[in-house]
Amino acid sequence: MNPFSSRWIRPDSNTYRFDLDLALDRGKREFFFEALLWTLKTGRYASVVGPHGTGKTTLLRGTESLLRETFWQVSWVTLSSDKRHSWRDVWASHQDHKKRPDETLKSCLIVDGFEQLGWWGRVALFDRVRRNESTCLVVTSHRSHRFIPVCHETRWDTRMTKLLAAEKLADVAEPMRAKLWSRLENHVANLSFDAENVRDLWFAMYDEFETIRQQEHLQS
Amino acid sequence: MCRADGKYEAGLPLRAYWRVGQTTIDEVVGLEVSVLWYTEGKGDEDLHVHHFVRWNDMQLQDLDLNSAHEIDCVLPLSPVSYEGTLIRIRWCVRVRLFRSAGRECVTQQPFYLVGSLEPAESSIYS
Amino acid sequence: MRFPKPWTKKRGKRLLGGALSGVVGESVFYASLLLFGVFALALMLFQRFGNASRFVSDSISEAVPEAFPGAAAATGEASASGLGFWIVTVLSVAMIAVGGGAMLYRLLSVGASNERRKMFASRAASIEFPSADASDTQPLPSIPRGRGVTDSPGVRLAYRLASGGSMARRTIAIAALALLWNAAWFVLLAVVVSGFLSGHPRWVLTFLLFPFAGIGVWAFRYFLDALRQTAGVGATIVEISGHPLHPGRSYDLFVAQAGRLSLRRLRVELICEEETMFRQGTDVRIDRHIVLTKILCTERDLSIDPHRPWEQELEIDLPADAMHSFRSAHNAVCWRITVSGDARPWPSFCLNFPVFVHPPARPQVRRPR
Repeated sequence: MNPFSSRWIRPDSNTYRFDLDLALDRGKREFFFEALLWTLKTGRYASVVGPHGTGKTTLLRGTESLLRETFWQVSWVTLSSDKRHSWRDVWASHQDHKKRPDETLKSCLIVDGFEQLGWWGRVALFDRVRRNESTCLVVTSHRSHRFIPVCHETRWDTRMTKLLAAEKLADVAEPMRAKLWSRLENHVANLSFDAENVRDLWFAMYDEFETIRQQEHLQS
Repeated sequence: MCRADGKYEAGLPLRAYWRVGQTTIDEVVGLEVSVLWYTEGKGDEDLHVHHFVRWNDMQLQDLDLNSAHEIDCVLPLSPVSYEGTLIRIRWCVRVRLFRSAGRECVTQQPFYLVGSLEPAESSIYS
Repeated sequence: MRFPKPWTKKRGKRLLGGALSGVVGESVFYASLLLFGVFALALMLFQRFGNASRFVSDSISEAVPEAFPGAAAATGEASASGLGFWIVTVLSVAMIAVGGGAMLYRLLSVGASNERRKMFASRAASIEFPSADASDTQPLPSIPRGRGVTDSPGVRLAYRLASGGSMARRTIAIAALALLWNAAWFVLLAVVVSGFLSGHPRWVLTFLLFPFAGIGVWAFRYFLDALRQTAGVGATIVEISGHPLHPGRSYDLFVAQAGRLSLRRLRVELICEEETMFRQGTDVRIDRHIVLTKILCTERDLSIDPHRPWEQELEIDLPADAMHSFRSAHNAVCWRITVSGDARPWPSFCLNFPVFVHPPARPQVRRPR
């Protein structure tokens, strides 16, 4: 079984790590939850920013259950670069599907990939949320946006990445694990600044795993 | 499963038995049994349910969970189980138990769907 | 090349010149028709709606009064009158439509056999793109139907395979660039001419026309080179004795390559490829991996003549444990026959002919009543 196949690396299969130390990680996680809820309670907008493949979606997926306990309705919209997205479609997907039992209850719209909307789409969606006082907006983006405070900034961390890789390789038998570890360190060492992307690294390790497995199969 | 090697020929019947132990009927609010295939690999996963049976809490009253119950369906001709590099196609029988307070318990038994049970004369790897 | 003599009875070969010359000449003719239509339309629109429109009649009358006493009045009348304007406009639009449409049709049919051309003419979609269909209501769920493959009967064998893509796409893209640039140049030329006619010459635009013309000429020559290359490669025909394919069986294959080519190498292969789609955050990526490559034929230092296309009969033995064709929302297993050639002086070409492999056929299960 390839530990880097999509079912093991997708955001809802992993937990975002704030720190290498487990105790500190737990503390930072709770702090983030509190900060997110406080930001939404006072300002109704929050964002998680960071480069490609640094855990933005993973982080928000981990908070989704908490948000569902806090908000009456939580809608999740993922925007990608392979198709055009309309802010109207995003807003329409958040419409109340059942009658709100109490007018004081708030709902939360999560937009994963906010920058895919384009300038006008972002402005229009922000304005629509602003006029609808019962809705909060949480976005992920590669950069910060005006009027949406940044709740957390994700970034590449070599030591953290190696820790995550070690966890994934824990169930891999030797000597394959040693070979994979060596190739992982090679990949990390050769990464340029703008290519520091955990997801790309997992995809590359998937290929390495399959290559080693095929070599061993041919030898046996 | 009725076959020890877990290999089933496409187009022929699959016969399997399931039961639920260490659970009382009061804890269970729903039960689903399905025969499905899913993909696994580098890309996003796909899933398709071929055979599906569901019992709600009323129907479960007439069901003895501790005794074996049969799943009987004719398997389709495709897709067959496949172990590739980027893609793997896996078949399984899945039982999902819905418990009170929103808890769920899932277990699955994989099997192989093959085109023919006779050994291949020529191989893709030769 | 002989020139036609319509007053005499035609003798000799059916074609006066080579097919390649015909393709190039046809394309140049339709491109000229398109560009002339653009120029005429732009000129009429500027004369009618531009600032210089009311000075046209007077300017022409002052410039050429003696030599062409009737021309000034006629031109002024034509540009000013509604009927003349509409006639020229309709003719220009017709030239644009005919030139553009004919060019597109000609480019699409470059490299296509006669049967494929018939398919273009009769149906909009010549190849059925396999759709993700996991429904159990069809006999083979998750397998593309590939109906388009068996629609075209072969001459030597049962089915003629349709190419999944052609070099014509590149040529069409280059043609679009050349025609758009030159059309824009002609519009600017119309603006400049209108300016001179109205006595308000646009000098900056006039000087800019020269470098723009250079770019337009380069783009058009690039398009003609690409067209010669695409048309020169010729049609690639692949026919197969049976379809869909089944693992463990053998099939006859017929491959023919036409054109005027000098090939360093020509290769025919059977390829099985996995294709998977995955998301990298907001980006969607497609990754491919070739599972099986079976070289069916390799020829080296091959010369192909327009009158003697290269033909070869081959055999495909599909391994018994080969995976069938598969397509779901994010994953696919695809089979194809590839004909690739390293040509001199034309660029290398590679054409894919999709085929579909079904699981081993088995008799239907009959349940006793």
